[in-house]
Amino acid sequence: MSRVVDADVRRGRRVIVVLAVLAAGLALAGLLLGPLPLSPWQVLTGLIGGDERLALIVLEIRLPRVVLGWMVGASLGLSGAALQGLLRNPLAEPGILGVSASAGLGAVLALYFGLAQVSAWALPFCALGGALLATASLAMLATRDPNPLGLILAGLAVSSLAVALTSLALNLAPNPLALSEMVLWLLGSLRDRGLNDVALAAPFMAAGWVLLLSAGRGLDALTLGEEAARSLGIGLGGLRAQVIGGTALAVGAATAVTGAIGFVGLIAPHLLRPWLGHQPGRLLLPSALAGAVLLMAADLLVRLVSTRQELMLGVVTALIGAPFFLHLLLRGRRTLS
Amino acid sequence: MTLLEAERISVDLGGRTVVKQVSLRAAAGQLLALIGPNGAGKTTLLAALAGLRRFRGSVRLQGRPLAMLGRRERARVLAYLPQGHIAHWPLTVRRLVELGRLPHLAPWRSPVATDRLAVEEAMQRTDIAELAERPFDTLSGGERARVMLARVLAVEAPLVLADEPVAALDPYHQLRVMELLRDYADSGAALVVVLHDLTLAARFCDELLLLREGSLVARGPADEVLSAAHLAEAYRVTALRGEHEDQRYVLPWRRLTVEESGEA
Repeated sequence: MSRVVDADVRRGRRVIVVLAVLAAGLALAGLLLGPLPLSPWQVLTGLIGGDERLALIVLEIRLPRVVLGWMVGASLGLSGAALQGLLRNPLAEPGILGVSASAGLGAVLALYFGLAQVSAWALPFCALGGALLATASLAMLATRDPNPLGLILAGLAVSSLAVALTSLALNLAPNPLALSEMVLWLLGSLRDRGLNDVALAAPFMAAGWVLLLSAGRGLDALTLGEEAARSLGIGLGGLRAQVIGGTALAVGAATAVTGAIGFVGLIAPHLLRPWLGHQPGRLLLPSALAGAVLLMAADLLVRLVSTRQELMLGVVTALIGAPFFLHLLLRGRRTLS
Repeated sequence: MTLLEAERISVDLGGRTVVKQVSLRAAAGQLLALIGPNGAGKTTLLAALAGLRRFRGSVRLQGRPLAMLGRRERARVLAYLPQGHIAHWPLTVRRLVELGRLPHLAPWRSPVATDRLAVEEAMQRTDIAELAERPFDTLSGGERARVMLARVLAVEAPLVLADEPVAALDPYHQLRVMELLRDYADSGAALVVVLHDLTLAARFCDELLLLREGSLVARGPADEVLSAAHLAEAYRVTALRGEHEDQRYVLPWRRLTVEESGEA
């Protein structure tokens, strides 16, 4: 009997190892490939600062892009899996529920009011605030109305409001420079980010990851419904705060440095369920890795197919993600609500 | 040993008092049935006893006030089976039963040998060992009920509160589940179970508690509680009754009109 359990756990570990190897491979590809293909030796030379030109390409351009891709993808995948667990809804995702749009609004407002020039921390804090506000109001609505489609509608409302206010800020933009700066957040990209962006986002994301990863048991218990979960010793208020706070930190920080990138959090857990089953706690870490793999793969695609005008990453994930979402909705009509 | 002592429990819901001054106690080895018509407050009372509803009065578990126990500690003493047998994700049967071990697991530690043993035993008792790797959404209603019961038994709590564990089950599985509950009580646990089937309550339970409009109408052995007068007052029905193999059965037969139930 115990062998069966072990087989299942071993499969989970295998999936994690495969995803980690994939992520490492994509990171390597991200360092090697580009307008000027480099050899592994050249990358190494650049990393340790042996050659000034190589160091510029590797340290200033490619490394931040790869590291941010990893961090942002992991944040999106992890928060997608955690939100789906908390809301017991396979359609939950920071992008669809308006969390990313609200974080983008925060960032745009920080730019609009010139707060971003006052302090480097203003923009990420405003993005975090936007994400927190959106997630908290969604969780409140979800508690009142457990119907999954009701939640999606609430997400749509939050998202629309955030987009409308963002448009208002763009509309009233004081000058073209500010306008283009703000538009950047809406499209979502890993381009032209530096190691300082990595440093800015990392502490918030790491805090968010810790909160989200430690919610696994509570999310597992929620499978049985709220009352049963409470009877198993889970504090629901704490669990909600943990997932909402974790999502706001991770997605807020991600949006603050890369802009709104949608659908990664939706897709990652869905890709893993056929292998790992539906237990929310078991999906958290693999979803983070799968999110990182997905985002780095999408970014690599963007870099390879782009010729004159580089495609924006957020546009590409939306182009892939929206049909996937539609597919889930159509397939789920029987089982949802 | 008295495991559960509830004194004058009242619960307010939406400005209405739905449970009024109910007292009860359950000792080790006892299987108690909580019966009464729809809306009598059975589910609310059970949830209050489980610490899931605000209530007035006092509840003591193993002699200690409910509020004094930490969340996890309470979860180890008291297992609660809600109505409906819900699983929001189609986990495999084994994974669902394992959730019953959550109150025993140290943070970040995986289940140890005793946890696995408890899960295996709960699955054996409920006859679902062969379903262990099946996803929950492929199971029949009877199988789902047994899986959820196994989840509750896996807690190995000395006190179990179960809300309609046999609702929507066919006669075979109703009997199966009642035997199981009886077994679990005989092994030294105390159980309070909400039931609608009066015969099952009479046959398997040590004591019946009849609720009506939030108040306890009668408490005691089946013979006393299921009297014609009580059935008329609480359920507004008359019943056929008889004896078979030395056990009583009670079969609700006819509705009483408003005047008739008033006279009773």
